[in-house]
Parts: sequence; structure tokens; C-alpha cells
Amino acid sequence: MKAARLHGPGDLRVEDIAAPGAPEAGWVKLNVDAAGICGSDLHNFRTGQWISRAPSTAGHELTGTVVAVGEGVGTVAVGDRVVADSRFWCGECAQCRAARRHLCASLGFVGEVCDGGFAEETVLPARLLHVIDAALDERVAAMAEPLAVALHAVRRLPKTAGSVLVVGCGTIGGLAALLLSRTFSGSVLIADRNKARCERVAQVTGATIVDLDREAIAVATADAPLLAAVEATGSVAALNQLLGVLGSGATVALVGIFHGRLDIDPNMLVEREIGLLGSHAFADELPTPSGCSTICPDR
Amino acid sequence: MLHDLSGPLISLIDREIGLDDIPAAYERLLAGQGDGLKTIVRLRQPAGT
Ligand SMILES: [Zn+2]
Repeated sequence: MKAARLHGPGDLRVEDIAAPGAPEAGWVKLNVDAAGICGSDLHNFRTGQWISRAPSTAGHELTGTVVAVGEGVGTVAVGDRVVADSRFWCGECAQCRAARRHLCASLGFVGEVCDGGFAEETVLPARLLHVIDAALDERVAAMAEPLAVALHAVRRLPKTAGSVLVVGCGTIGGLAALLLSRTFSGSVLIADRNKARCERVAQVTGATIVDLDREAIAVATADAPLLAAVEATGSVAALNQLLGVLGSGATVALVGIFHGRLDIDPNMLVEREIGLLGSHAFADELPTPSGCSTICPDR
Repeated sequence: MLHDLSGPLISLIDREIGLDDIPAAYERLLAGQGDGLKTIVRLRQPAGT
């Protein structure tokens, strides 16, 4: 079968390899239906930061159809369509036992610690698979995982903010803007250096495009302080600009993968009570048949 | 519920590609080219195509 495998930093190859055999106990074999390319795939390709085995079939945003199940698997059956939990959690550490699997002490990701979805077939642990509606478009199903990441970031924000600014209209920022446009009663503001992409997100979500300067933000918020933002660029420069337009008491959910280090005066955070909250992957936000409503809690 | 978001999600797709196109897509995305939100590697084709 064909698979796109990362051999090392900057070395991604599409190769013919042996298809996986019958799945081991607790594992499931899938025909991959669709898979999304994530910014973290690109980061790992560029830097090799998360390469723990090589070569490894990349791709952790995947949906597929079950073609074989290993011994003891009772949660999915042959023919089921599924989406994969990208988080390879242990299930045994204190964080996992407290249902914080995204903070698992030995957390890895599908496509890195095990083969992922950029292949015709793949095998994954049954515990990472969620059955989806058989009628769901596979392109939409492939976006369930980044939607969960965006929703987790949005849920880190205070519920009372009058406006929310999303910085960066890549996958996670754009999806955060989409979710906010459906669930948030205040105004949704977006900023991105890529004007065409920003306009496309604005068109689909109804969000207002702003520049990252105080005047533009003041106009967009009718002079109310900006108290909530999602940082989805991973750019230190963009984060510094964002800090310059936030109101005192604001909270920022940081979801971008950064290159470089932040140099700030911590007293600015102290005196203005600015909260910088990391947002990693997702907690319980990945949609399942019974829990799909978590994606849009107000609907 | 994902059904409800199907329309906007599909309209935000950048490109739909095959497995062979992934390395070129990495290069394109790293170069900052792409006005959509997501490049999808599509292996199962819709019925009728
Ligand atoms: Zn754990």
C-alpha cells in the first residue's frame, strides 16, 4: 500500500510499503477515508521535534472505515466509520485517571508514536476510535479533530467577554472563529497577515476583520476593553502585538505552536492582570455520537 | 452536529489531494501559500465519482 512516511527532519517520502496485517488484541485496522494536514505535521517535518520513531506514517487528523478488529475489541465493529483521537494517552497516570488525557504524563500523538493516517490503511488502538454517523462527509469527519482543538481553546476563555479576538486564521484560528460565530453572543474579531484567507474566514463566519492596533480594536469594540483572545499564529511578534491591544483583565488562550521565545516584563501581566493560558489539543471535545453537541454547546 | 457545520467546513477547505501530493502540499503550506483552512488528503471518493 501507499503511505507518506517521515524519515527525518525535511525527509517525507511517499512509499509502497506492506499493508498492516491482522490487528493485535485491542487494536483495529482501518481503511483511511480522509486525513487532514495539520500545522504540527509541518512543524515536525521542519524541525523533527516530535520524531520518536522513524520512519513513521504521518497524519493524526483522520477518519476511516473499520476493516478488521483485534481480540477483545467491543467498541467498534467491521464496517463502522470512525474518527481517531489523535492523543496517544496511557490511561493509567494521574492525569488520565482524572480525565485529563491531553495532559497525560506520557502523551504522544498518532502519526508520531504510532503510524497515522497518511496511508491507505492503518492500525490504531480501539480506545482511540469514535464511531461517527455513516452519512457524514469524510472531509468533514477529517476536521473533527482540529475542531475539538479549536473548541478546547475557545472553552479556555472567560464566558463574559464582550468581544473575542482570534489572531491567526489558519486551521485552528479559523475553526475557533467559526465555533465562536455559532456560540458566542458578543462580536467575533479576526486578524491575519494573509488578507485573502482572513476575508474567506470572515465571509464564512461573519467575523469582523481588524488590524492589531489599539485604534482599530477600539473601533471594533466600541471602546470597550478587549478581554478575550485566541492566539493561533504561534508567532512571538503577533503575541507581542496582541498583548499591546488587550484590555486589563484579559485572558488569552495560546494554541499556536511557537517558534522562538517570548521576552516580556512579567510585571505587565501582574499589573494588568493578563492571563496567558496554554491550550493543548483537547480534553473531552472530540465528537462522539452521543456527545457531538459538545462542539456547539448552545445549539 | 458536525452535520450542521458541514457547509461552512467544506467551504473552508483549501485543497483536496491524494497521497502522492502530500510532499508538495507540505512545501506549499510551509511557503505560506493557501487561502483555505485545511488541505485534505482524500482516499475514499464520494459515491458516483
Ligand atoms: Zn496518562
